[in-house]
Amino acid sequence: MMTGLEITNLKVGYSRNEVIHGLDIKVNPGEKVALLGANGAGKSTVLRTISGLLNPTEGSITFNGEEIGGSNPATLVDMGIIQVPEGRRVFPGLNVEDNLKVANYGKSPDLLEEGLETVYRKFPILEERRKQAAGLLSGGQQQMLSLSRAIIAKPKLLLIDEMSLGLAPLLVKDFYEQLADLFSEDVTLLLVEQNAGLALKYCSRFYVLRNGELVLEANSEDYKDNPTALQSAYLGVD
Amino acid sequence: MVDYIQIAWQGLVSGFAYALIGLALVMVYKTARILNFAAGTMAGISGFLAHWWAAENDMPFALAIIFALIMTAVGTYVIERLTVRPLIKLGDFLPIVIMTLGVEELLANVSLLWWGGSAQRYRVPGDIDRINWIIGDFRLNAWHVVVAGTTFATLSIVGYVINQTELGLGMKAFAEDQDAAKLMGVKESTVSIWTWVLSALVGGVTGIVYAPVLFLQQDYMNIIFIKGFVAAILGGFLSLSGGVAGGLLLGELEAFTIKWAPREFAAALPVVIVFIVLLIRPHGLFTREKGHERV
Amino acid sequence: MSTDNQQAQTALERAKIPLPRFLKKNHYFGFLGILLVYLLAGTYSAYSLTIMSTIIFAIIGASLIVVFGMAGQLTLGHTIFVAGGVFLSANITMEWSRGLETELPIAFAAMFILGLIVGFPSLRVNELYLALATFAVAFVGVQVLFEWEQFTGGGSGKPVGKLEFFGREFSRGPTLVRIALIIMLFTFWVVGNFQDGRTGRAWNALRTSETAARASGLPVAWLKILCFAIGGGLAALGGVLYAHTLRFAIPENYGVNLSIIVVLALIIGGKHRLMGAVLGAAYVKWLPELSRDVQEYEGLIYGGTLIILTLIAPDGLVGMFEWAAERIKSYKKSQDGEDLDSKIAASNTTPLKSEYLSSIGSDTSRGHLVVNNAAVAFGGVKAVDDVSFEIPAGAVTGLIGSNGAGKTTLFNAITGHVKGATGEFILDGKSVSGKPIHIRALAGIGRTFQNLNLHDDLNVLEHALIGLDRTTNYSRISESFRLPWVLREEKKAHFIAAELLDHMDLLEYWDEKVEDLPYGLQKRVDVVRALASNPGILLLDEPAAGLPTAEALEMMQKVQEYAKHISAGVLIIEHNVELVADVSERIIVLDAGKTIADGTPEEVTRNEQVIAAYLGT
Repeated sequence: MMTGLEITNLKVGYSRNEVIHGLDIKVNPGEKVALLGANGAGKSTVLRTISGLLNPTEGSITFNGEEIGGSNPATLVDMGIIQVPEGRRVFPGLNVEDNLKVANYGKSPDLLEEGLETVYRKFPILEERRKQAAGLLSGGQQQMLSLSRAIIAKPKLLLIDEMSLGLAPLLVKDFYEQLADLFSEDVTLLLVEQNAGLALKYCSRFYVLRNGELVLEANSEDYKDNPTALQSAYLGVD
Repeated sequence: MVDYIQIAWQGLVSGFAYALIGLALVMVYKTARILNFAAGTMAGISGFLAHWWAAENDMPFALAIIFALIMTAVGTYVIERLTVRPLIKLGDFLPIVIMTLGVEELLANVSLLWWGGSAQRYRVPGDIDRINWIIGDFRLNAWHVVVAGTTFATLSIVGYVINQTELGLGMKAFAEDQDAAKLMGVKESTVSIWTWVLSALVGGVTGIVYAPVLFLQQDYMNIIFIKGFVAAILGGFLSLSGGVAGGLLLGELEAFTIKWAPREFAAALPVVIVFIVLLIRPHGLFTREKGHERV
Repeated sequence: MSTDNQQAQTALERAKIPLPRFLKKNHYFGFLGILLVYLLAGTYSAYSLTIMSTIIFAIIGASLIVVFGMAGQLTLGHTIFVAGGVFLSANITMEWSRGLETELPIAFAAMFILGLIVGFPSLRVNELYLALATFAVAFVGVQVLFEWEQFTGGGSGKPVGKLEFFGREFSRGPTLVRIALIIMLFTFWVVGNFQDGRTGRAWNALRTSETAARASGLPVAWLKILCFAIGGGLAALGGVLYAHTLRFAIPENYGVNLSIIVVLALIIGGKHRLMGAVLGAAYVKWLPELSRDVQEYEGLIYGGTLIILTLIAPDGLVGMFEWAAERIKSYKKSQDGEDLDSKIAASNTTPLKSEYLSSIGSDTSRGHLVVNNAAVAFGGVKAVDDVSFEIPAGAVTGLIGSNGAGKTTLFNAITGHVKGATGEFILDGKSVSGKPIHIRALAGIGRTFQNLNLHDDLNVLEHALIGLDRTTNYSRISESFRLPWVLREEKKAHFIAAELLDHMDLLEYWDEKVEDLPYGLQKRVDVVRALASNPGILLLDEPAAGLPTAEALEMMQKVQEYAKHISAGVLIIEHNVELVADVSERIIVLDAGKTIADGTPEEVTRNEQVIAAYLGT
């Protein structure tokens, strides 16, 4: 039953503090949806919860009809729910190829062969540096590596957390343009971004999060050419 | 001249023990950021088990060792599941450390009850621990050669597991970045269990192979455990090879100090080294400083 | 109290906060308990060895409370101080033919000094390594004792001489028990005085959040070394008693095993409370009395108890009692259904006008901050790239920027919480560039934290008192004997703290543990702690994060009021631009480590570059 990602009344908290106050988000199969908002809005918290690093205190998260809230992260990876985490999070002491291998953890070696071939074709520089420690790569190269790990994992639901963080704007633009090429059409995507302009060009729909609450849900069409209109939603000022 | 070689060899033989235990300690620390205080006692029990199977149950020497190691692995699994696992979720290391202290006390008592306090000799086939080959002025004990061989074999196996298997890759990734590793599908419980079991097996092998050297007695592995820790500090607690190198270095320093320094000082050497290393280079001699991890 | 003669009551009085006293209820109970045993000392001579052991263990436990319970340093080598006391005693009585009047002070002094040395690793390694390092010290210590034949008599040990005091000899038995009780009384009293004083608070602070402790101006390094020294000295007193109990000193007894048992005893009892030291000592020493068999299974029992306790009752026996007491208290509260608010009488004056806070007020504007060429680089990335600005005294300034812009890093560069920052930082004419965190705090830099860094286990009032540490004036030696001026300063600090709580509307929660409070109140506690240190400039790290805007604004208003009262400057990092625009006179905007805008809120929020940086066009 392909229903995509459905989040209902999600509440997440750390000890006594509730950070996410009841979210409803829907991403249909194959849809590309953006989750926007300023810092501290709680966007990463939402992704971390979907991926099992945090447990919801209330509410439900389902993927294709199956309840996944509170699951073990490894189980979710098996289901094809893959995250490209904020800040890349490559393994600095491991070399590039080992970083890619980890993405194939627990899966068949043939898939790895296939995946490496694809990745090295799209990012030749990674092949060039395959034996180099990932910590020595530049920010942009680390982002390539991070995306490549996701490619190898063959995601059904792809979660990308702030790809623009700490990268030169031109580079980020590049990555966004490549996204369609890197992942197949029918991958369901939930993309977290602070930079609305870029995200809207690639996603068909978006939500805006502020202080743990949804303040806006709309189609990209309506805002694509004028992202500054989102200002009040983001910043809370006129 | 031969004198020096003799001392250097002696230092190596002790150094192998420190290196192995250092390795075992660093392994657990790297992945789980915990120190296992029961490691020395656990290693000692492995030695007692091997002796028990061989001497009391007339099992062939090699088989006894295998049985002992299997029991060590199973025992470690039980300890990890029952005592460590529930506390990992708390996020605070202190309860776990205290827990391993409790395990240490418990196991020490168990071994005392089971095997008694007096020293026993661990018999090896052909009594080769009594065989010494004389090469010129150099005396080479046959069992020491076995020790050396075992050390290399163990290090090779561990190296293989860590560097050539998927499990090892998962462990390395987990040690570098827990969250990122989980996002790749690496299971925390699997890594935890295998780290502990592997570490206990290394300790067990050390306990068994050094039993003829040190004599089986209560707490005979404790001093090795302490020096293994010093080795780990010397090597930088985050480096597996550093721990090994640290152990060999400690063995050598110790051997030469015993020869030329007053006995009190030789006894205090490990602590002195700890202090000096902490004073000058807290992150260890063999690792580059990583700004974000406080030693 | 009739409304006719209603005077201005202080916040402390209104909230019925008990004033610090020389002796508390606990002191009386403790004294009575000790007196009881003192009087009965003659009767149960069959058990006198066990009683002595219990007393000695309680003393060692109390000394360990200083190191472990309060300062949080898990030391497994504590018995080295006991051993030191034991062998010093043996040598002094036999070689010098002197009595307790020499043994006690020398043992204390010698082990105090050893403690200063042993404490040193705690500065360089994290708590985990420290546990193992002290374990190693204990182990190797015994080896050294074995080899050092002149001092210890090697394996065979040394006899201990007569029990005397200034030449007057005492027989062992009940007299020894009484002497031990007196020493126990002394030790407990001293440790208790620290618990009730600023050093105890400082130790608790560094145990629960070292980062915050430094930011409050506490000299963390010195405090760590000091706790080992004091703990060591007190443990040595136990050692002297041990020597006279056993009449013979053997190195073998003082190894790792004893160290572990000592820690165990404390944890079983409950590591924060002196009562825990007594309970733990009793558990460990009386259990073997129950049957001979128990002695054989000591390790199993102690180890097993420890494992079970760690899993279900980490705060030990005392912890279980306290947990039960809390449950009863909150059950009664819910039964009574009283409204907390009505418990605190209204005041007819504002806290700022109270006699205590008005004396703190200042007319000299402070908070003149000059930042020149600040730069911080992580790896190859320039998080802060040559930032310079000057904030006039008494100003309220906002610092905003998108994620990764570098504002938190810049903030931390000012307070000293980030390594490798270059550039000049000058506050009110004093340079703080390159200085350690607590020195900067003492120079007038106060801050709050994004993740609060509160001291779990401590209540709201204690947080304010910790903030007040730099103005609470008495020496640590005075503190150990609770001399009159200590009491005076403590009372003053309590009055001031209460007024501060009142100002931030926290008064009614003064004795709540902070981890039980809702997030909004926790944020205010963080603020109160910072305000209490009377900063020249107050740096607020995302004060509105996680709060509804209305609540955040209310809190900010109170902060500003107080800042004005002490003429301090305020620098705020925020994401909530609405809030910052509302409270600041000026806003600095960072992007990719550089300043891209600097002006009034109106100017900045309409600045195109700023909007582009936030929304990305």
